[in-house]
Amino acid sequence: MSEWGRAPFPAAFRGIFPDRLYAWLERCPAIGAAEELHLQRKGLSTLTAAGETLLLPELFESAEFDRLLLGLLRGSPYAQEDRLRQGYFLFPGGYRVGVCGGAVTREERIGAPELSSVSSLCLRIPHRHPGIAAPLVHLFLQTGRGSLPGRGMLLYGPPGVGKTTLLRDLCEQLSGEPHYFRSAVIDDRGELFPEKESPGLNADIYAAWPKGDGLEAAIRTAAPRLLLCDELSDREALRLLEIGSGLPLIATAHAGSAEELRHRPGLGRLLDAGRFFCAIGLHRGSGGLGFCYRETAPAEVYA
Amino acid sequence: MKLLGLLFLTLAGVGGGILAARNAEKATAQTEETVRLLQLLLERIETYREPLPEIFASFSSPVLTACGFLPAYPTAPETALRRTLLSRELSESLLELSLSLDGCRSADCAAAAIRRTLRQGEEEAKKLRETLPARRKTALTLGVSGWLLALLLLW
Repeated sequence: MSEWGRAPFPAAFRGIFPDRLYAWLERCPAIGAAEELHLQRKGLSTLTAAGETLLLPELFESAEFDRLLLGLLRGSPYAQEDRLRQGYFLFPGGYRVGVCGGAVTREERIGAPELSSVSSLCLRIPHRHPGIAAPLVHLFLQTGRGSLPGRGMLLYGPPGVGKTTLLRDLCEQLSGEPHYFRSAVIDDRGELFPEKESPGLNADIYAAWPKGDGLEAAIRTAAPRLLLCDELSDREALRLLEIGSGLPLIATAHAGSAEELRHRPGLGRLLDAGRFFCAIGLHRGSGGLGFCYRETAPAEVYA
Repeated sequence: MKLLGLLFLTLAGVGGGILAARNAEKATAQTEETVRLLQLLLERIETYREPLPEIFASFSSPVLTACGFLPAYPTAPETALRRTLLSRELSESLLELSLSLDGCRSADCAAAAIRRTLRQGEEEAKKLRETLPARRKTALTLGVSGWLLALLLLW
């Protein structure tokens, strides 16, 4: 499995980004810690690295921005129709590109935006930090597996805090050597395991499955001992309650606090149902890519 | 000098005939392979919504690779089409198709664009296949006629 870590600017973008911008990004000292590129048509573009925001040296001309967008879509916008409708698309290698543009609605349903109306892109650069989830692995093995079987962990935090990176490492540690927990990973956005395979891991990757359907298929057919799911929404939480599994679930969710989680219609009910033995708040430490855990005891969450 | 000239005429006539016959065969084969490529594109896009680079990577065609069309078409269609012996109409249609696919946000739109070109390609391929023996014969006849003419002059 490839090590992403603090890698240089990906060569996959050569020929897609304008040459001078690619050269600038390649030379940028902070590129190894790059987390996000925010690119605007005719506007300011920025690079976020280790929590800092840097301005890109040049503005994008409209035609240049169109070429970049088409290049990132690999000349096949139709292949990302459903994702574009949800405001993002994927670039091979686990890159998620958020798309902001004029919405097209028909019969109250949002359609994929017209490419020429896309005004900005938010390119998330995935990272792999082997071993970063070690404290959570220990916590899960000590508590989740022993005294509270069938219960999992909910990792919450604001966007960009590193929930996906942490979940990926948790999966690699739990389903890899030496534990080999048989896991089912619902990777609907292809961000956890973009290779769609998991060599060395005792894990089934449900790539591109909608979360609810993926969870149901995994529970019914793959006989996992652990479920992992990124960005669980309220709708999917309710669906999970309907399906019922008795399996521990490790999931991530967007939330600012345990209190906020508790008041969410789906996730709150999942917490009330005792599906998680703890909720763990994530926030960025001063070191940039470090994680700070704030374990919330069930009593606090359910109070 | 006269002898050399006649020899040149003979060779040019026969060579030209053979070349024309081979080009007719190549044009037919390239058109048929293009149709096969369009059929694959249609199927993969309609069924799997697969991106173009993946479809092209899975398509193998020695005929279209030899002329340099395959590696270049998805990214530089104009250059790719210049390398083929496809008819002007089909080339224009393929160029239009590559532009249409760039703007298609739905698989239905992409499939409709491919179908239009596919229909045209199928018709052309059928016509070329039917007329191939006649075109091959004409080309060879022209070559042999040139040779005979040269022989007569030499006589």
